Amino acid sequence: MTLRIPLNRRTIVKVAGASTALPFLSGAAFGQAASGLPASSVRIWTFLSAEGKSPREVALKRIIERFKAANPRVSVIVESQPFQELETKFVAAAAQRRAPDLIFMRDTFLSLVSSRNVLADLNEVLSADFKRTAIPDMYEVFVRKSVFDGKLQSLPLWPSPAQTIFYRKDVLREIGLEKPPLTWNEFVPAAGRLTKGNRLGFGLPTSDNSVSSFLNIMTGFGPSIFDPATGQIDLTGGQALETAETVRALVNSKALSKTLLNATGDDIQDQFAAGRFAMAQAFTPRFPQFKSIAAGYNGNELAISPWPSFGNRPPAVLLGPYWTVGLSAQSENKAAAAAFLEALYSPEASMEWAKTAGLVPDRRSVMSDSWFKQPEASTIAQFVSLLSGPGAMVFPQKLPDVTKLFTVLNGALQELIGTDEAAKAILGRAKGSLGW
Amino acid sequence: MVMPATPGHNMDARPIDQAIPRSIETANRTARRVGIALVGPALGLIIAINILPAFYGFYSSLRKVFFFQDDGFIGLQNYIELLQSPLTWQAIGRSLVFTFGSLALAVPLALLVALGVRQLGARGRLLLTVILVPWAMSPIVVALLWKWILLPSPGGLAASLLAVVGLPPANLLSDPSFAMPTVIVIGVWRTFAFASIILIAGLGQIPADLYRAAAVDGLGVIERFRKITFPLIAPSLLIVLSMLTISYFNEVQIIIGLTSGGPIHRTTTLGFLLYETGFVELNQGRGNAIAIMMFLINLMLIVGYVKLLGDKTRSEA
Amino acid sequence: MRPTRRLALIGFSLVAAIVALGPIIWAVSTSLKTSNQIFAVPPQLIPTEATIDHYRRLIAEGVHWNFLNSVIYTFSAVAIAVTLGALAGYALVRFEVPGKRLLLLVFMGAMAVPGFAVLLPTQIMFSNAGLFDTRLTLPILYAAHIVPFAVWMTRAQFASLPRELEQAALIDGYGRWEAVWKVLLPGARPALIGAAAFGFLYAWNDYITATTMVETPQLRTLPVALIFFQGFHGRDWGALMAGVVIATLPPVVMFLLFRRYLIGGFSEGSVKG
Repeated sequence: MTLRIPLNRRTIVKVAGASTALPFLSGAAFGQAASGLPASSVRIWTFLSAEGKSPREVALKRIIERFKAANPRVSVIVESQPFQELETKFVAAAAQRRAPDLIFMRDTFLSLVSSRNVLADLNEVLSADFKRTAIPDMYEVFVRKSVFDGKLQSLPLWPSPAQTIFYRKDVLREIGLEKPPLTWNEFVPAAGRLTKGNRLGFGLPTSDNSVSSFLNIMTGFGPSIFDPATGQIDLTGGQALETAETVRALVNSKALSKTLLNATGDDIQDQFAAGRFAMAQAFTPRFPQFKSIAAGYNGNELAISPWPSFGNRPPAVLLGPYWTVGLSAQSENKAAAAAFLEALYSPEASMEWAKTAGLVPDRRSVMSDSWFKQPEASTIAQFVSLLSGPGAMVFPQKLPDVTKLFTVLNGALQELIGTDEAAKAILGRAKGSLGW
Repeated sequence: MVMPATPGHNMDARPIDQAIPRSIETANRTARRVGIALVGPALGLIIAINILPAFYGFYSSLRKVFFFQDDGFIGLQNYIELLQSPLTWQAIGRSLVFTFGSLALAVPLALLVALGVRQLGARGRLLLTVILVPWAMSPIVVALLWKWILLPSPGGLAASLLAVVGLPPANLLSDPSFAMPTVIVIGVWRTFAFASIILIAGLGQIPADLYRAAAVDGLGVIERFRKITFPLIAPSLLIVLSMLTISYFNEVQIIIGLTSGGPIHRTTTLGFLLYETGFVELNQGRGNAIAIMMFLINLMLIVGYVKLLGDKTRSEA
Repeated sequence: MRPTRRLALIGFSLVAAIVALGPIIWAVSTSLKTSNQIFAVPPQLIPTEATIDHYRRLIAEGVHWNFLNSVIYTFSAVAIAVTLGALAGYALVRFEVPGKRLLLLVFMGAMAVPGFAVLLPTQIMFSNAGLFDTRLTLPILYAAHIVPFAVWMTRAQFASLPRELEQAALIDGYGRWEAVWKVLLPGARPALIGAAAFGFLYAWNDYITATTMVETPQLRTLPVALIFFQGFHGRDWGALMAGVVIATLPPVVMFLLFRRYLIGGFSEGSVKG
């Protein structure tokens, strides 16, 4: 049965008129006008949604409610954007003078965004009280990275030991280990022994936009891998070559599959849930998520380990990328925006982030609360010890060519795993395409 | 002028002796004006929305633009760097592989389906609607769906089908040897039904008498196809080839969704290179240069297409 | 029909149907499974524990508004584009439009511009005109992309209709425009519907333009909203597949309703001279 439409003038005029009128008439159907914000409002761009059900979004909602109760005339508007596009969209919006008041950014992009002069100097908008009590209470290693030429361009949020290794205790027990070895020359054969049947010993993402597993392995040499002047890493130097050899060793020991070359962090996460890996590189805040989707194994067997290191160095923990919140230089509601920004870092907010979402509290003083001694807070305790451990390091403040770096490094890593070409040639090409 | 009393008739209706215009010049002028008025809105919309930004894109391709910061005029440097980079040429090569690989798979498949559907008569039309479902899906939705199906974890659909025959899960999308063929298959899956429609119409124009005569002459199935079917659907085949060529050359969303151009750049077509350069690396000047290159190639393809069909559509004075 | 031939045809139909529909059926199945069933080994087609939680989650996150947005933008764009396109197509066939060949070149050139390549300049243009991130943004953009195709298809169709039809109508006492409405357009129906269907698919399924040109969550379209389920916490396959199912329904329904015209439209618009 098909529809027969009478094609006469009346029908066409009706349809055309109705369709062109639709966008206007439907104004009532839309929840909120797209323009014409009330006098005192704070517009935030983040990857979180105000109505979401994930722990972080629930925590955010409660923080907003508390803020609104204290400031009833300020409306907080959360507009969620895809997380990889936040910084780009913000700069584009700023160029066209329609930027939001507050913006969530990844720290790796902070220097780029800051160089466009679109972020306000927080020293000038934060209250004196906040500057005196809150900022010294936060983790200095992150706050320091937000200061460019004396201007505080953002506040770091949710400090965490971002890059760690997730492993399954049950599988490691099979080869008599309690946790993964912390030096590479022991880790490689162990990972190889963990490969059994369809299960691979180690899962390494090779396709993410802001994560480089190659870099993660190289952090086993400590912060010296970043040139203090340029922020570059020496891609053809001894440390890089040894990193490449380690990757090749992982492939030869069968811990890494030569044909699993295109996995993103999400792919690794999904396959890990189905039991495909014994260990995997993961973004630490995703720990609860990994646990909840575990299907091919018992989620309680999931645990976190720092990265192995080279030689006698302490186990490596790369603290980044992490989220950091900035305020737009063009904002017309700087006072309200700053007030809400401070509300994200109050002691109550820090407790909220910790209890509801399992995140390390931004305010260190809050750790003295008795809740953190309970077993449910054990993961947070572990995160904090990793954060404060000797092997913790951050990306340099100005990471050069950040929009190209990870693509190039991931390409090199894929070539290292998937081909037999000499490592020096592969790394040399990577260096060339970055122009370093 | 007599006004007709019957409703429903255009008030401008004239009795027959006044239907002839007073002078040829006025008629021509009016006709031209009306013609311009009719074409104007469509033209205006296209120029404003399609053509103007293209000019701006060209202008921007001559400048160094990175992450929304314009650093000045650099002439053809973006183009020179592109043409000197081996990655660009590889990308062009991969675009060709993707396009012609897809054509090689899609066209015979579409022809097969078209022949089959025609044999089935009315049920055939229902079958055609079913086969069209993939074409109704957004490329991004197609990428999501197939990513899910091809996930190499033990619970994935493809992995389970392989397990039935005792094979381990295959990393179809991340194996350098299989990535491009897999992406081609998925692209063809989405689009071949559309080609079938056109071929079915073309097949419909072949007079049945020819086949009857061939049967009388004792020609076999294959011979009938070679001597009758194939030559007479050549025009439809040309249409299908041209439309699909343009479509496959510009396909980028399923590659973004399925393989991100990898593994080891194996699926980095020119379109994906544009996405990576302009939207990920944020080198917008260079990205626009790639866009201009793609525009020129597209223009060539479309002009070729229209020329091939030229005689078919030109029938007005 | 010989039995072997009949069998072969049935086999062929089954294979074709499975290949075409199999993936979407799997999507439906996944969308109805509980989260811990989704990764289960071995996977089952019919979920043992069926749930509509994923669909509920989509609605809780406002996907129905995105659906509505998609509907509104698509219908507006198609209406505008087919109207303008048909007018232009008719004019190009029946009137002495100056510079006809140049115009045709312009229309073709517009089709050669890969949409996502000019996103950045378009964004700047629209922003300066105050049209960025509004209810009008996407209808205008989509209409502009559909118009060349509509012009081309209707032009081919109008060209194939003999002038005598209009002249007969004029002699019958109809005015020029009445002649067009009553006589010409019905004959052009296949091309009009073909262009409308093509336009509908383009606008409904677009992602890249929609995600760049519209930022306010309330104004977003369906494909853009779906991407959020691939968010920061990983991928929610149940919700993603539910989204896939919802996104595919309207085009499929459209196909079912208009399949007669569709199959006719493409054939006549492009094959017949």
